[in-house]
Amino acid sequence: MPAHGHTHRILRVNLTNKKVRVEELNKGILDAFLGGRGVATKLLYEEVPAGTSPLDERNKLIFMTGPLTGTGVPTAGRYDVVAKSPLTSLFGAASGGGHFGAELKFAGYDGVVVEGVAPKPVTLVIRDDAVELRDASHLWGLPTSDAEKIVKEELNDFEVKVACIGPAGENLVRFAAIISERTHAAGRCGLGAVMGAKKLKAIAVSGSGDVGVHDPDALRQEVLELVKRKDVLSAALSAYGSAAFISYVAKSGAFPTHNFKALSSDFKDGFSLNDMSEEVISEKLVIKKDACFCCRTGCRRASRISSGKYEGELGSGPEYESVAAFARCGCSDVDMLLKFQNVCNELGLDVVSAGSAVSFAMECYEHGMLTKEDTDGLELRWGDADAVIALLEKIARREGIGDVLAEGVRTAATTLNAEKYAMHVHGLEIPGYEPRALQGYALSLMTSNRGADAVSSMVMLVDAGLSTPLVQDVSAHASADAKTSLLKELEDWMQVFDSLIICKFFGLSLKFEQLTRLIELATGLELAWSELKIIGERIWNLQRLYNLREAATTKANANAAALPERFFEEPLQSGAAAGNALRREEFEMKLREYYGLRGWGVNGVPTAEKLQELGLGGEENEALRNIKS
Amino acid sequence: MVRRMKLYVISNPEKCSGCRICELVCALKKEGVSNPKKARIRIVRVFPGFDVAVACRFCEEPPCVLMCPRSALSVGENGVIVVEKEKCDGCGICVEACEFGAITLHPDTKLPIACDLCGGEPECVKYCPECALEITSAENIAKRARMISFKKYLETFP
Repeated sequence: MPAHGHTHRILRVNLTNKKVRVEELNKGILDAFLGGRGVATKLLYEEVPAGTSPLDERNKLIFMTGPLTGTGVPTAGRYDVVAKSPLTSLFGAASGGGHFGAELKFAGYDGVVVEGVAPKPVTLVIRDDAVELRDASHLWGLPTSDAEKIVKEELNDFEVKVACIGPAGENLVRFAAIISERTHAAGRCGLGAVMGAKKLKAIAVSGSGDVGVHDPDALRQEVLELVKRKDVLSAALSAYGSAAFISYVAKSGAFPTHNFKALSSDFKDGFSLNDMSEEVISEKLVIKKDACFCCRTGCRRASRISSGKYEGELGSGPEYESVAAFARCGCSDVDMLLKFQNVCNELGLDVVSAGSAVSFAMECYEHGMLTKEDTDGLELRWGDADAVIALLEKIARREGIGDVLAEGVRTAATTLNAEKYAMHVHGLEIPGYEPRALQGYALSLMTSNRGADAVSSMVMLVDAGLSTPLVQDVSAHASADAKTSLLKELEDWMQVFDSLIICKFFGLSLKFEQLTRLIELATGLELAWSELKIIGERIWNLQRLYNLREAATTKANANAAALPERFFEEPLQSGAAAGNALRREEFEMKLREYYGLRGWGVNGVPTAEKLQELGLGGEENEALRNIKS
Repeated sequence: MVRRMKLYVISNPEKCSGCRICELVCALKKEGVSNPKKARIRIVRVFPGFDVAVACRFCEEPPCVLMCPRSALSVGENGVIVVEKEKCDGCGICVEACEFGAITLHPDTKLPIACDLCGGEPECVKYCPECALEITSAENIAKRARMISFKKYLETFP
């Protein structure tokens, strides 16, 4: 089969019987699901039996590239990873930047499906057609950077790209991340724990093949144009990295601190967001720019801790979500902020959920629901960065209270009888944007298939006023109930980006026609933008079906009851959105509106007609039979 | 004797973001494909975020040429390494000889590949989004260093 963006090759690795084989990925699935997250969703749906426990050996860990990966299209070096999530027991997915995805494509694979459980720790080494499983017993327990260093030394290859887990993944912390190239996290949904359950410490990949495309000359011209271009979003990201969003979001009153507590404007307690603004981060921490594969923007940073007991320690970023997670713990010391992110990367923890777990514990501590006796003497006071770091270590190693928190805030809250401080949706901890200030975003937390999730719609940035070529194109086609319609459309487009796979920041800067042209030149698929969008919608609906099948009830579906009460009961007391709280009736109404736009029933279940229309009418329909309302 | 200034591509590690667009555009120009391992310029990542570009330095007595047991390599115009395909057997001793790792074997043909400056207008320099690459000479680098140090000296004047 001629390679058109895709290599049509999937590497299947069974860790139980150590069998490795290459399988052809048929054109049908690629045409219907594009690649990346789309294809991974389909594989998960088909191959992992309903009701499989996320840490069971029957769960599969699916690493995917997309048709644009490694073609030179800017930012297309990312990879996507999909499995049933240990946090939500629903659809789990995460995406990692850097160069790992491109390298996997150069090695000749569209993806790697990891099955079974290894009897003892292993590293999967992929060097073009040579694939082997190596003993990793000596790497077990090591932080991610040490593990990566040793893998490279042992392979005697310092350019091999490594994705691995840290102690958190090994200890099945339910929000463990997969860390590639030391500083890139595929963080959300706890897929590091799935990797840990499989006893797969690391994947090392090196490839020397070409990425064949449909029209090399035309794509080359297009790529050369794109790598030169700068736009508004990319200019802001280029200047400050994702930290550029801090003041942008704060201006809208949408930067949450202290576990989303509604705080009055005179509240200080040593916390000041100004102490870790993007300017301060740039001035104190940042040494220079860093970029993912073929990205002209370069929103990443190489940084160094400027003072204090960790002075001189190198790191990256810090990224927006790290700043927000740290702020939720009431901390604003910029040097400790970088240490916080470094510790998360080294232990292999998702910064969003890790920050949420710690801030949840801090609020419990404030209200006496946790005491020094419960924490082995650790005083979990707001703003105590040393306590944050100490607790992260306990979580990753499941020591004492860390063992409780390692289950994620939903389960921890049940154990501690502290549900009202658990800021999650369907088990996934809420990212660093304030739903009471950004109501379209609040709705997206309800509708996302991953649980509380910002990036499967990116609507929070649009809510805060961001306008880009793609947003303008989407808005122009949004229907009367504009906000809800916009959310639905953005969700579909983000599935397309995660399937191609391109960075959302780059995708948002394209117009529909540019996107379809890139796909055509890479794959030969001539898709109208409306057809492309339907692929996104198909992927979204299949994820929804998966969730309905796994939960076997519509309760795990979008509904206002899933959002923490705090957002309804406690109006914001300060900032641009002061006075705002979410209103249940309004929310339920918007949800119904959303279901209507999606062609779903009032209970959020896709209708048979909708599934038929999306080509999901066959066996997928079976999923709906056993669902209780 | 033709007098010429010896030119080569260097990177400014303070500016380089490690995006590897240089590798991409080089491979696209020279081979028509996206494949960094076919690029004549390569990015070395020393630590996340700290990168340096490596391309041929056009040595006066290039070890790669001297070491070739089959005399397949020679120095051409502007110091560019010329490979005679008929003589080369892909043994790779030239790669061992180069202290910079600036000459590599093409992954398919196993023939040595190295920077040829694109005839004086290197594609990598043209497309580097951070302007971290430049085509320059030792003389120019020294001139700049002298200027910078002299400017510092001027600043000490009252």
